[in-house]
Amino acid sequence: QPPRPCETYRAEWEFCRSARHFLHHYYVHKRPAACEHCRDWEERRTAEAQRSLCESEQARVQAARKHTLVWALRQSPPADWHLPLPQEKDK
Amino acid sequence: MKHSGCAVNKERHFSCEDCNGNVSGGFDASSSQIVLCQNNICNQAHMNRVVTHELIHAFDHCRAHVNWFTNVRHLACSEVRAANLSGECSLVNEIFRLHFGLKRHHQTCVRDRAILSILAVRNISKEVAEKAVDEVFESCFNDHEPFGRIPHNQTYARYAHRDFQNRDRYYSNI
Repeated sequence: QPPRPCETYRAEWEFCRSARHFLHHYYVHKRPAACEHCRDWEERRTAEAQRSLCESEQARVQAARKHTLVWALRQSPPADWHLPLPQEKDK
Repeated sequence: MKHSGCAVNKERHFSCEDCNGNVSGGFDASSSQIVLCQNNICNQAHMNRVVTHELIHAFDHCRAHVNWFTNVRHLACSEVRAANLSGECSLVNEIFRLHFGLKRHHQTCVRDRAILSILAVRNISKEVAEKAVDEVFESCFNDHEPFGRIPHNQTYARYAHRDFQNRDRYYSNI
């Protein structure tokens, strides 16, 4: 199945083409957004369209991960997150 | 937060207090608590931004080893992300502050507000704060977790939430 429901791609594509999104994208990136990938899957639904969509999504994930993180990620949450506040322990 | 193992309990993890100066809120990593400055938060929209801002710090504390007190680059990174993702640098908010700009102005705002936030909580020089922010900016500005995108308004936030709910299907089918 596609990575996201087809209706999601349709909604994102229409939103991508909206004036409001153009303004936000320009405010951040100084250029218009690229909206064409979503449409292929909806209209053609061929193996080629699926491959193209998956490649597009993989590229999106890779782009999000390409920057080296400033910090080390945890393996588990902080041990004291759920502990009572210090003043509550005195009650 | 819950998905990362840090479910938020409002009685435990939030505190409403009177604060000095014009600080709107803060995240206290030593007690895992978000402080909201009840004397300085003026309306619901401001409240929403402050809560989002501090929850981003809490999220970073939950998912990463952030040395809040000993590594100014770590602090700078979380402040860049909080300014970027909380809505405080939206076009409308910047216009209200009389900061006019369009092309890539979002980045300018994020940088400036991150520096201000650092200076509000650390006794360091502006130059040290600027250097830390500039060193980490590229990486931290592009780290949009947990949203996957910059939530400029409710529509973006709604799409981000939908993607989060759909994440299992998404990562198993790409």
